[in-house]
Amino acid sequence: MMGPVTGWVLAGGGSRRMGRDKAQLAWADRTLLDWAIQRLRPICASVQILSSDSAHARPGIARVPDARADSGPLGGLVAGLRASPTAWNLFLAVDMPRVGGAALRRLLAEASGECTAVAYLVGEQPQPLVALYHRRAQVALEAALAAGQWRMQDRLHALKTKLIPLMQDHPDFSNVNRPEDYPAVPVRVLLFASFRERIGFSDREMVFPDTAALRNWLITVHPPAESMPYRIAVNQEIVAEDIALQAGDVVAVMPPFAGG
Amino acid sequence: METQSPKTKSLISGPITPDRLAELMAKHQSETGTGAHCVFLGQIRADRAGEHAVVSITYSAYEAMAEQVIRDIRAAALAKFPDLHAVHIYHSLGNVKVGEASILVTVSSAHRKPVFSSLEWIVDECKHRLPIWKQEHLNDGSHRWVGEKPG
Repeated sequence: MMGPVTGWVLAGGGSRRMGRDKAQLAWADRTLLDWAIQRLRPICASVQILSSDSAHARPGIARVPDARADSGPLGGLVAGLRASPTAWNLFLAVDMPRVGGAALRRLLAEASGECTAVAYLVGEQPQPLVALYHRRAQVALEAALAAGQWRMQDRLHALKTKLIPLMQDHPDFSNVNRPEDYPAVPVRVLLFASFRERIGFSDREMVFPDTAALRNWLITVHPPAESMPYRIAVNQEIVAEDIALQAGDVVAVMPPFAGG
Repeated sequence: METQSPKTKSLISGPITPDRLAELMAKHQSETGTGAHCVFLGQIRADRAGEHAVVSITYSAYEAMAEQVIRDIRAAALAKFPDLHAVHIYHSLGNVKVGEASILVTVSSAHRKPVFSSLEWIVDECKHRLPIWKQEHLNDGSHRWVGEKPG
């Protein structure tokens, strides 16, 4: 039994390659920052934001500044572990919107007393910014921060990390670094029947790059959908495979049909 | 050839009433080349749900898509069964009580054989392809979505 977990959004600073603040980009029906909070909330006892930027303040959520300016995500991680009320801490980078609730829950399920961290290994690449850290990791991370060893992937190797292997280039682990990584467009999302009743709207403008991202949103806000043969129609045509969305598309999310 | 005009709405608010069938019969009396009609009328059954029974069903639909799918099914039926003279499809939306009808499909041809096989095919297509959902209301005041696990 691992006890309560604190969720931490690594909101980051300004992005040079993106040219604007990634945390404020739109995703689903909110910003990337708020989407990260929405994914962490159901599985964490509390959620806090790691950011030195006052634009990242959210009502009712603590915001913790980085431990050291310009130290990258390591400074955020150390600040989080210093401030955390719990032994286990789930960190989520704001620019990884495709990592869904199921992948986050799996990190928690794989934790044990023998490890200091749990992370995904995507091909050869460990993913330190969607990962679970025990407070035992703090000493080693403080030392690395003081020594200027800021490369996070090396830090994971130095800890007792349980790595969960995933295939190379797993699409859920693509992050948003450059404007071309962010092809999300405004679409109109229609919900029907039980989805409308449980999720609470029938027709809303939302922002997604493709139907895979929309399905990820659906099972995050309504987990029973995962085990249901629901269908998606784009402009009234049912799509058999995930497709990229175009601005203005009408996307219907439909529970199993029951006419007659 | 007489068939439902593309402008006619196939989705009807409330139950399908007997006068709609009478109207169809009257309309076809001028079609003197027609020798056979076959009618499928779906009626709300008082299914049991544990200790309770269904008293009514509320239908909802993705209306624009459902109307288009009905037009597609009708066109596909006329292509697949070239002996058909006419195809009519109506489906209820909103609340329909036990004993009332919620779907009406009719097909017409010169002779009886084509109407039996084509009618079954069209009703199956409607069941599988129409973006329509139903919520059963039970006599204890509760409701449940049909075709989904409770949750």
